[in-house]
Amino acid sequence: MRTLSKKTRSCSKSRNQEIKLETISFELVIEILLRLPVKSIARYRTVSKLWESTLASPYFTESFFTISSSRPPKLLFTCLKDNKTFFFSSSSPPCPPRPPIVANFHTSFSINCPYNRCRPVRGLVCGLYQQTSKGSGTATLPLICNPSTDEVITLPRVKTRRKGVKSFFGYDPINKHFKVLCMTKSLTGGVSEYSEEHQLLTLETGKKTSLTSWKMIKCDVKHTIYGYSQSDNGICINGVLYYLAYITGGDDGFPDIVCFDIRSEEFSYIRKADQGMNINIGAQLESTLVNYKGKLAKLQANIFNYNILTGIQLWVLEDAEKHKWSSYIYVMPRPWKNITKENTLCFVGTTSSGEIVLSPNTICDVFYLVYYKPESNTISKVVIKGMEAFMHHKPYIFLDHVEDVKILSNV
Amino acid sequence: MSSNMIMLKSSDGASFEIEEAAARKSKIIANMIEVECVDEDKAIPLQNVTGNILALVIEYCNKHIVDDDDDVATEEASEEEEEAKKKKVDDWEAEFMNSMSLETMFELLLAANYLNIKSLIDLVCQTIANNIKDKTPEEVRKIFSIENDFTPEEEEEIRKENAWAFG
Repeated sequence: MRTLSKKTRSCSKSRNQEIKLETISFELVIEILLRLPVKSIARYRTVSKLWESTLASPYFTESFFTISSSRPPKLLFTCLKDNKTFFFSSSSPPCPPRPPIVANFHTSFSINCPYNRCRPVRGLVCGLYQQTSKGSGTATLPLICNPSTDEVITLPRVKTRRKGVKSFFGYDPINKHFKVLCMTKSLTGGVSEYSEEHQLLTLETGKKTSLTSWKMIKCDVKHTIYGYSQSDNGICINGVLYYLAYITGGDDGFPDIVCFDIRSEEFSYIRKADQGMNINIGAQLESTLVNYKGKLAKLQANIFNYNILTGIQLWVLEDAEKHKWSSYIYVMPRPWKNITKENTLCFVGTTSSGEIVLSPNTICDVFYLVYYKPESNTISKVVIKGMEAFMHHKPYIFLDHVEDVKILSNV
Repeated sequence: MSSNMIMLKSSDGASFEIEEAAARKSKIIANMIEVECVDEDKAIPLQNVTGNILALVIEYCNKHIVDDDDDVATEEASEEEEEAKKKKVDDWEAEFMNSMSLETMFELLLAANYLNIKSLIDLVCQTIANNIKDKTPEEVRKIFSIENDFTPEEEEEIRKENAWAFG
């Protein structure tokens, strides 16, 4: 606590502003700066040396992230077009009736792998850039990007010449490390080829990314990723990465879930529930892993009589060790029929209040999100404007994006 | 709700009567009440807060003590009601801060900090941030009385690294 100097109290209004401001402690100045938008923070790095070092300090970036996380999350939209991935964001739509929202274009990065769902992890995304040249095979370079600040760093080349590379991005909240897990598959082999060449890269604080390197890690859970051409890039919840995969030995043709502990770097798996979780994917509603109120959950279609899509199933993981799930089946209200007739839908995720969000599979004339609220069994549509130039392209949408100001070269 | 009233006295001698429950929004005053250094007939002197700023602080505390009571009463409130209530508070806060000059905001921030009222510090910091967010680095230096200690070359380099933010 600072005390005001006597003279400020007696000052006249016209000339006391500067004197007053000198009495504001730097701690309070930081409190103000923490509440600025990312763009202003980047601009104010040029104010003074003290400000520059303060805005880049771990204390500042951590506190900024904490405040940023306490606000309603943003929606992040990504879309691959012309060999680049474009990023848009918007605020979360309020309660119904929801007015249209505008997706504002932020930036684009040279992430060119198709089916790359760049799910943000603490404000950052990871995507792959691939370049194939004659003779030397395919070079795969993961990019770590901050869509809020336009910053990007290129990681060392993945140790493989294969084209079938899948990347997963996760965060260990205890040691505060970001890690990238990559694995490959030979595309020349049959469908039953296993995921191989598991390799891991840790983003280390203060270490130049060119000096970090991939290390091969052992995987005791022999598995095949649920389609390399599927868009599932896993989901990281509390330091554990989860993704759908076929586990060797459980060959009933339906995927279980592989877990990768970011901190211990060990693989394990969770079996699907004995009954009900097996589902053949059609064009509509491809099964997707989501973060449901902090728990891992799987959203999948509810099919009646083999082909009638009547609603949604939500499977929530209750106990990973006991492979215990609880299930909820939602039969959709009337507007559902028309919505599914118009467009092929896919799952987007769940909101913090438990609403299930869907969208058309590709950007259409009037692009929208569908919010389904289980408690009231109601559906509401939110129109998304601003992505018209990406018509017929596949968007990926995330409901829980938190802006971050971390300088990536300092991660 | 407690209807105990206590007196606060500003640095320039103005006295204010305030409900104890509202005054407890200030951790400093709450602490004084706990350790019983508040004499019922005597005003608490607040040497670092002028009357016009103290009036604003009291307005804020009075508004928020009512909201806190509501929270207890309607614990089972539905999501919509919660949201509507939150919106009401947000609207009130926006209105409260709306016509304030940057100078008054800084004074209010100092008072909130001195009295240790966390939610008011948050509100004022956020409002100041909203006010300065579109300013140039030069304007910001002026507001905070900061000297530019970069050489033109250094400044240019940082500007280049953050070029996107200057667009």
